[in-house]
Amino acid sequence: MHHTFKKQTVDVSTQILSISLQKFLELLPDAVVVSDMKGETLYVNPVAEKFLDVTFSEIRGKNILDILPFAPQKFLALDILSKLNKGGSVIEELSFVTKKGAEFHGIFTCTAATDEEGVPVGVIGILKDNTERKHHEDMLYFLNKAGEELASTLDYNQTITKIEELIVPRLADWFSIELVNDQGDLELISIKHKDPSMIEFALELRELYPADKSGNTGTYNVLRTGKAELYEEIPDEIIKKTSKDEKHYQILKKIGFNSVMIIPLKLHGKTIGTINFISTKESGKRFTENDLEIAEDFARKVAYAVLNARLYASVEKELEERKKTEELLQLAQEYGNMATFSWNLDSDYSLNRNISMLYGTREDATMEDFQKIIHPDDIEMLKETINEAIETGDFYAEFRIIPDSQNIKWILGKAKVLYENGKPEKLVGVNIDITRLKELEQKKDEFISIASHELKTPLTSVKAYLQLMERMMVGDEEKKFGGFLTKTQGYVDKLSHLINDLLNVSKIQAGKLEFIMEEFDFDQLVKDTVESIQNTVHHKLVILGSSKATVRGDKVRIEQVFFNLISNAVKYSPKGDRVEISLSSDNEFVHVSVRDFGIGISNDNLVKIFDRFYRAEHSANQFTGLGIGLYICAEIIKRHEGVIWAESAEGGGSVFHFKLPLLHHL
Amino acid sequence: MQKTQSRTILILDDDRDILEVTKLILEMKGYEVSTRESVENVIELVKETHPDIILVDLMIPEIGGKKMIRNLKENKETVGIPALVFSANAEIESIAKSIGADGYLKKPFDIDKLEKTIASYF
Repeated sequence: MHHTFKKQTVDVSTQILSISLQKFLELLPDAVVVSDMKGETLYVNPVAEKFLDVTFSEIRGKNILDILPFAPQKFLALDILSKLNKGGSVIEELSFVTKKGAEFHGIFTCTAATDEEGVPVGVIGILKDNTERKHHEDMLYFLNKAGEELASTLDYNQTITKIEELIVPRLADWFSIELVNDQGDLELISIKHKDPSMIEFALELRELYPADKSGNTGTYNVLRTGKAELYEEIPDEIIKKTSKDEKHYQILKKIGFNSVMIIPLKLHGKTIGTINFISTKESGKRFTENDLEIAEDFARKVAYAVLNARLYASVEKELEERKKTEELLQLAQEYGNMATFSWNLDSDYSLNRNISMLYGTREDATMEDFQKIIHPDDIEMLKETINEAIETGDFYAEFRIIPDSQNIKWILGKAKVLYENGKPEKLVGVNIDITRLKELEQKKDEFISIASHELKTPLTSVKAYLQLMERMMVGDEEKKFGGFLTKTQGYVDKLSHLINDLLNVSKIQAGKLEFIMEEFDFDQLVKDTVESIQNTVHHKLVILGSSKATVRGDKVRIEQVFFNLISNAVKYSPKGDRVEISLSSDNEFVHVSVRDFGIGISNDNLVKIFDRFYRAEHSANQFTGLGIGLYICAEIIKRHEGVIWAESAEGGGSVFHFKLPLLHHL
Repeated sequence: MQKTQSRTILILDDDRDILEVTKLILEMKGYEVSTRESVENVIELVKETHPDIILVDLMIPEIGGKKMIRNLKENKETVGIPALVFSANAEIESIAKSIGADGYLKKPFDIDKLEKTIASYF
């Protein structure tokens, strides 16, 4: 101006133009500096005054090079001046940190002003402040990049670290993510500042002065409304309003808030948290409406990343829990000496667990491998049981294995057949080591064996003396007395039978009941047995019909069947006076039925009546007995390849039937 | 009766009561009866007592009835003397067969059965 506007203008219109131009320069948002070719300042507009932190009157006539604070700027100015000596213009992009420490980005356009002959006489420099625009561009670029980062990985913590690094301090001095928890409180998920000690300070401050949940500004307000809050500037009143006491105010003031954005994180229309951008006076960055838009877009990506991370975490947790359950199951199986197996029936494929522990085989052992370990005496039985299981659907077997030459183990196998389209597909179940149980059972059997022997020993003497006494009774009076002795002997026999039953049950269980097979006249055996039982009962025992056949079997055991069936018939018909034993035969079998006229058996009880220790409900209080007689009968008949069954109606008496294969008719 | 007077029966059983009553019954029939509650050397005992028939309980000490009968049956001098298992064991029949005994008598027994069984060996 000094030079250009120095010439006295006579023209009024030129004068008006000059004033307008000066006004224009004063109103211009860009800094304008005019100097001569040596750099002597001719004009600075108010924006430039502010920017250079000087007044025009202070620098009027001084060299611009002396005013610029830093050496690089001086060099740049010198360079520009020398370039413009030949006329034309220079455009420089400038980025630097101001005296206050704020970043500055701008475009500096310098144009040489020439006289009528085209000789440069001065320089007009216009500095356009591009800081906000640059910041906005950075926002756009880096938040996009951060967004891509979010989509690229499922590792929550790693992702957060990366996006923090992209944002702080480039886009904001502080960046934090808060998510609402089940209690409705915002939890700080991450917070970042370039100085770690500042993070600690912020955490302490958060602890001391928690965010106001009911305030109409701030994170909780954003959480409630779902609307972002933007504070381009933070005037002192806001800090005053936000602070809780004087001390808090001083702290907040010291932090030097410059600009703040609080953006809601929304998932399916629900706000699940906020992301917070804070800039302080330190960087002087300012967030604008434009930035808000970019940040909201970024927030959507963060929200989906949170959703993904949560899904991923829940899947991980589920996997972790499943693993734990697996481990527990494994331990439980080990402690319980138990293995599980799934064996495909039509192939050799099997899926086992813990099988190796029991069998000492590989975990994926095949049936062939198992067969080598199973006790040779039990293989046939097992094959039969499996074939039966395919029919019935249920597998149950106790068998021995020889995992090494030193040991025999008892295994209990329990499984179900799984069918697919009606076809048996798999056998799935458990194997349990029951060796100890079997040992105990054996001890129990030994005990019963010894006990029954011990019981029989005194009985032997009792019976012998009774008979001796009976023999000595010869007179009429004495003979009457002798009858009592005969009866007493019958009771000794009964006692002896009971002891035998007890012993037999434990032998049947151990599979050790021995049979001595011989051929005999069936009707004769029935006649002898019934006669001997008749001595001890009041009921009339009647034999109806005959079989006229010989049978091959164990006479003593079959006698025992009659003894048990007839004893039961008598016992359960206390008001009856008669038991009928019917005999018949067909081509293959002799058929026996023992009928009483007593209390009968309900249908529920009828199916279980041949089970060991089974006694009909409520009968324990009315009838004595061990509940083993019918079980022994069933076992004995089974071992003779016969069948036994019962028919009955409650109150209508019972009929027990059995059939035995006959050898030939007489 | 005259004929049976010279017959000697040896009963080996750990139960004194059974020995007593069995001896009583058989003596009433005119047999000589020798009893032992335990036996250290069955061969020696048989050589001393010269029994015509031997009843052996399975639970007899020291070595048990099974072994004793086996020993008797393995010895040339004693193999010819009828040795019977005399026991309450339910498997008495198969045990008697398996150890090579000449027969068995089940406890508790019928006096008649005892007498008939013994008589059948003379």
